[in-house]
Amino acid sequence: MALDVHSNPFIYYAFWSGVTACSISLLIICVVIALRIFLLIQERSQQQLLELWRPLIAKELSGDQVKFPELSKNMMIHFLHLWLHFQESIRGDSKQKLNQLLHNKNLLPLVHQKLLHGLLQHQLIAAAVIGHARYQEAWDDLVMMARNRPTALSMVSARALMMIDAERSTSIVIPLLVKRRDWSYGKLSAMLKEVDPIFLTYFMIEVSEAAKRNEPYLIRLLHLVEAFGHKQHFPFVTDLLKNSDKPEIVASCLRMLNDPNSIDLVRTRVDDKDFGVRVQVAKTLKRLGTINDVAGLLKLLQSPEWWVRYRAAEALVTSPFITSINLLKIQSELKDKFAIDMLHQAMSKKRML
Amino acid sequence: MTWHNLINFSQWFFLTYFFVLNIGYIVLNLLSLTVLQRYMASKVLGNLPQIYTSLEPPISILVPAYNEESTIAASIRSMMQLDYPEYEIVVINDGSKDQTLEELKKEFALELFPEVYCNRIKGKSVHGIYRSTIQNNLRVIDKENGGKADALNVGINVSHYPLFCGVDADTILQRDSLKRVVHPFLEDHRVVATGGTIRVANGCEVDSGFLTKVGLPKNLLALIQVVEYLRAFLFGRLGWSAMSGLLIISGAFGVFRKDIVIKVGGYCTDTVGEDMELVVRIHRLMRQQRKPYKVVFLADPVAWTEVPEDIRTLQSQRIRWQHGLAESLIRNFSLMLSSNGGVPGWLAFPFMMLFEWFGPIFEVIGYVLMTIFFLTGLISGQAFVIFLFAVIGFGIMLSVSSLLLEEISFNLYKKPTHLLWLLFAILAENFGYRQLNSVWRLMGLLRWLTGRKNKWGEMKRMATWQKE
Repeated sequence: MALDVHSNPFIYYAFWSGVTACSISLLIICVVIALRIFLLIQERSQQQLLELWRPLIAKELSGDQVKFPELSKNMMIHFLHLWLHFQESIRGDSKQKLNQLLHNKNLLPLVHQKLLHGLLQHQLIAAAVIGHARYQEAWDDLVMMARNRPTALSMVSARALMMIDAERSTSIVIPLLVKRRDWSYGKLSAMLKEVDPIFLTYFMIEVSEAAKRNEPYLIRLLHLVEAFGHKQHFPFVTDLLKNSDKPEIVASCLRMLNDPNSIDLVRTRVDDKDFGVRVQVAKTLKRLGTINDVAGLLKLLQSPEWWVRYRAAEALVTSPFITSINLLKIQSELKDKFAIDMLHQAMSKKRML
Repeated sequence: MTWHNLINFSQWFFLTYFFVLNIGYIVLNLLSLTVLQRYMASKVLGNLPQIYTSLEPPISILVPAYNEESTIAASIRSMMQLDYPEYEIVVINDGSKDQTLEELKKEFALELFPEVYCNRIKGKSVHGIYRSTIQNNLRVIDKENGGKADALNVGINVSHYPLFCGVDADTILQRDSLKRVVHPFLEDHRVVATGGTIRVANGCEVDSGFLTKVGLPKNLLALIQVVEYLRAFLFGRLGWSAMSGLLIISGAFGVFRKDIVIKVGGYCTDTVGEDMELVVRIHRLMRQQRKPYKVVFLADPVAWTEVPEDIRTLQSQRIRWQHGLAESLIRNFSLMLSSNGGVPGWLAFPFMMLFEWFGPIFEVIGYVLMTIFFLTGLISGQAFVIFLFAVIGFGIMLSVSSLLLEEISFNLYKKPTHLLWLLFAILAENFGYRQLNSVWRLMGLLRWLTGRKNKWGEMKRMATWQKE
């Protein structure tokens, strides 16, 4: 039977739809196979590079004189990736040796080109390499990328700026910490944990100023200070505890407070109407409280909110000022059933652990 | 209307339906392709040594268990080895009739504990809460039987942390599953729920609860489901997530913000598709209240699950899924084209209604009618064959494109033979399996119409991949 697809429009459209779908399927299968072959070749060349270069770099880092082979252009990204792996894994003088390797091979101008004209993954690798290698010539391009590029590339560029010149980067990166809401706390805290202390000094000045001016973005900065876990005492924390009426800011300051002399400021918040603040009060009293805080903790233990009771009970049972006998006495004197149960739970947990 | 007009109309209707359906999927596919490429590129620095940010929020892993005596201890042991800074495991024994609780007591030295918790979501009564004396972060709730959703609700009440992760007792996790799936919560404070890709464990090797080698199943049904899962997760959910219209997070592994779930009333206990219903309800209520929120899907494979290898279990699973889908959509119908519905209300919901809810009806009727027309001579053999050619051609194209997504992203099925088997599965899937699936889904709709209930999905597990 001869195929006559023109006789009926239904047959015509169905036929050509089917032909199109099958042709696209065949095309995709060809792409999949080509991709497989390409990936296989990539994987093999990466493997070869790793086998050759990894031991050589390790030898160089251990102090031996090594003669490195020539690096072909198509191996460069694999090499940079390996180089980054070393950079992110080691500490101290060895980092300088790795940088020297890039300078000796005169690779940085090529890396700079990758930063400007490569695929996204190549740009990311290039920005990270330039940061570690402190390649000043790429400064302006990194500034542009930190300001204008999508999240991943802008953050890696900002990190590179902080690595190249921490002090100079403050005027560019600190405003971006506020402005770029797409930069996550998680990644920023990791960046701030490793940055030069000079950057943190400027950053803390900015936080302090923002606290004085009560800027709307203050809470974002406070979360960042919390995130990178700064243990130093800052006067703005106590100032905010004295003056702020924003629960989120007060809770954040309570989490950061580490000065036992400011304990009175915590005590004034025992009756705060926001339960999130009272949870933090209980936790702070657990860290910094004295025998004088038992009354406050008992008050918190009788709060209507489960979390406040839970944290207060935890603070009471872990307090070095209250013996087990005293705890039992406190429990027997309590009238609130929920408080009694919560204290009982906390005591049982302590006994089990 | 004459017979001829009726036949003509039916032919065009079904062809147009299949055409529009596939165009919709192609758009999702293209979106996924773009998102996936960008995602994979941005992950290029992800395999460098990382430091914990100390910001990772603690998570409660909720494991509802019903008659799981043979696997529960191994599952919990593997969950204890997850790579995550702070988490607790809360097993909820939902009135198992076997030795699940005794097994847990013996393996983890459980002791009854006077736990005080807040009953924020109603649930069946709790007989007792146990705490392990050897694993600080393990607690077991023994409760009256009430179904999976009820077990999860009680687990939410008892859990301590701000995020919870519902995990099926038989789900195989990866060591970094939690780390990956929590990532969106760190990136964006509006995120209220995340889910990741679930892969098929049949044919893989599992040791001590963790996947050690990726493989393909020898069983044809399971092999076809590998392709189905690729299609469903890599371009279905990823595409919807890219448009902020994701309506499903798999019950096998998903992370939620506890306060939001409590606010929307927890899991619905009288539906068989509690996982989808919860996500659709979150969309509906958050949009009604005009609150900013995000439901995010991660392309990363985070969990592996065993799929049915026999027709009967597969049939019952698909009937249950369709039943659940119908319930989830109907219960939250006010999201459909609602004033603040956004992508979920104006795109995802209507798409689901038209192609997932009504889909089996149109598909089965389409196949049946065209066959009747052909057998009775109302349409020519040529027209019938070309209709099937077009429908099957589109089916193959979509499956092949999901394979492309897998290749450009995770490329887990590395061997050349894997590729051949997957291509074979794509062909086999379109000659009988898909049509059968449409019939099962139609049965699911009928079950929903007749109101028959199903509490715990029963699954005949082979676990041939599990090394003891």
